[in-house]
Amino acid sequence: MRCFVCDARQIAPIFQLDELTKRFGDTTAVDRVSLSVGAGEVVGLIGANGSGKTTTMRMLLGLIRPTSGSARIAGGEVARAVVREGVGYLPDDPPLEERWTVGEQLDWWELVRGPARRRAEIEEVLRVESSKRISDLSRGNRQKAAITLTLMQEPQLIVMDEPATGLDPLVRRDLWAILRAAADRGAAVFVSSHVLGDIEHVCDRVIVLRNGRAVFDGTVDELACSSRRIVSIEFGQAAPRAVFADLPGVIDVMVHGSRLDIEVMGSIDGLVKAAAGFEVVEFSTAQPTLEGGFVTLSEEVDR
Amino acid sequence: MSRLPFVTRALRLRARSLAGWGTGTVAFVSMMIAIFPVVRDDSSFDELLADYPEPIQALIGGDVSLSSGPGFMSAELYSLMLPVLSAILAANAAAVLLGGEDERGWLSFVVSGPTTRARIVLETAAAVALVAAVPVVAAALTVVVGGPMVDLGLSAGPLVEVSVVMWVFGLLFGAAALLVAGAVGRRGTAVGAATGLVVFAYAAEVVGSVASWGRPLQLLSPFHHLVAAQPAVFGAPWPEVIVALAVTVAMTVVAAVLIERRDLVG
Repeated sequence: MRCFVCDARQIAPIFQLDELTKRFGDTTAVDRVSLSVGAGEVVGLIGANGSGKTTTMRMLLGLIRPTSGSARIAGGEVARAVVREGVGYLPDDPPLEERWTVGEQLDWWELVRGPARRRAEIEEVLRVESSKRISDLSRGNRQKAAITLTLMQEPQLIVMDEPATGLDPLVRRDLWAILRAAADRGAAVFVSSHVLGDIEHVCDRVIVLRNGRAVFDGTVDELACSSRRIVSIEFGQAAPRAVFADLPGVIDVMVHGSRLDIEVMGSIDGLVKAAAGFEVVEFSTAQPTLEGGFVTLSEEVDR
Repeated sequence: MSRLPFVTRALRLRARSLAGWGTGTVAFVSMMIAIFPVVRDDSSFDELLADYPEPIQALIGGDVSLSSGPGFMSAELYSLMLPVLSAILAANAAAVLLGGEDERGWLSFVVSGPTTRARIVLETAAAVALVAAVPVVAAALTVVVGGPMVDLGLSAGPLVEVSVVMWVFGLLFGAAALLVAGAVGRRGTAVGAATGLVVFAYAAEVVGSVASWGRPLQLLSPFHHLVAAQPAVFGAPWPEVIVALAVTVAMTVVAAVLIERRDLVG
């Protein structure tokens, strides 16, 4: 799967996965996943539990080795430490030092990774409580400290596994704004989340993993529009069921007197045009959502 | 930037524990020093020891006199308690700092950046070396301060030599735990393996001392080569010390190689 931004701008991707595969015994956790992400992109990786998201991220960072295929950052093999110079990684359950204060934790991280240009800014935006001990923090406040660790060195590649875990809606909004700003400065952001509403608002592109395979790579709108939904049309006459039953994308048509409830997948353009030939009293449909598209796609893949 | 951030982190995290063990060692050694005059002035202890079978005498340092300071400290401190303490502390530190940190995902968090796994192993080894030294240095300082009060007679040269041997003994088992943690990334496995080795080493020394069939096992035991040589009395067995250091370095290097070649656990 190709990086749209890279293609459009003719630039090298920040990272590239090529036929990446990981097997644990007889189980294939990740199955020939190929994708690339370029500078300035915010890409969401979504999938059900156990679909291979974390394993894919861990192979991208060289933490586990692929059974076959390769992962490259800035063109170099991820196993080479120098290639990972500009990487910021937030794991699913960030391990922090319980007895240290947040400030001590951040100070030590600067000893390891060098001066943090964005530390003060991120601490302020996320309202990080630097003087508190990690062990005294709530789940959300621990997550804020870990996010600060990940982002404060202004990494060029940001990889986050469920970053919104434990965060309240206001902080989640601030986090996504920080990530968007990082992408606008040229970073590549690769993030997994079960909060599809967030992914929908911040990501340029989504990749759907299903049973270890990448089954979708496209824009949020493309995935959302592929969702199955109900369109209700109230006619000023007897409902013309036969006209709608054979339209492209229509799955089922239910007649309720002069009203049709039409289950449709994908674009409703043909349906609207067909309805225009009749007297329509009311036309209603739910807005397509990423969650709807994801559920529809998952069901289609499993079929 | 700190040159050794992982060493300083390791020591900060273990500071309370090390202070506790150091204090405990000082208290124990002080007690030994305090009772030495009683043993020195009562020849019945040496006579009692002389009545034991020869292998048992060897186990408790019977080829030296308990009425001499070096002999007494050798039997009471340097033949079992201090080397085992140094070894267990070192093994536990290595297991927690490498295997435990791998299990809880800290290692993944850190090496996702430019830090290499080999660097973590080497700095952990350095931290383990310092941990192993804590009880040894605490014991030596207590002897330096308390020894002259009771005419212990353990002079600076032998004290340094026996301390080096105790430290190297601890390092050896710390490196063994590091090797296992590097290979499998599990704290419990590393602690278990290293503790098992300490027990095996002591059992091999005991069995080798009392039964002829146990002699080959005894030759595998670091207790036999380092501790049973009674360095407080006879000086350090330098060739054996150098071999032990070489094995320690080799195990550390192998740990670094193995951890580079495997998937991280957490």
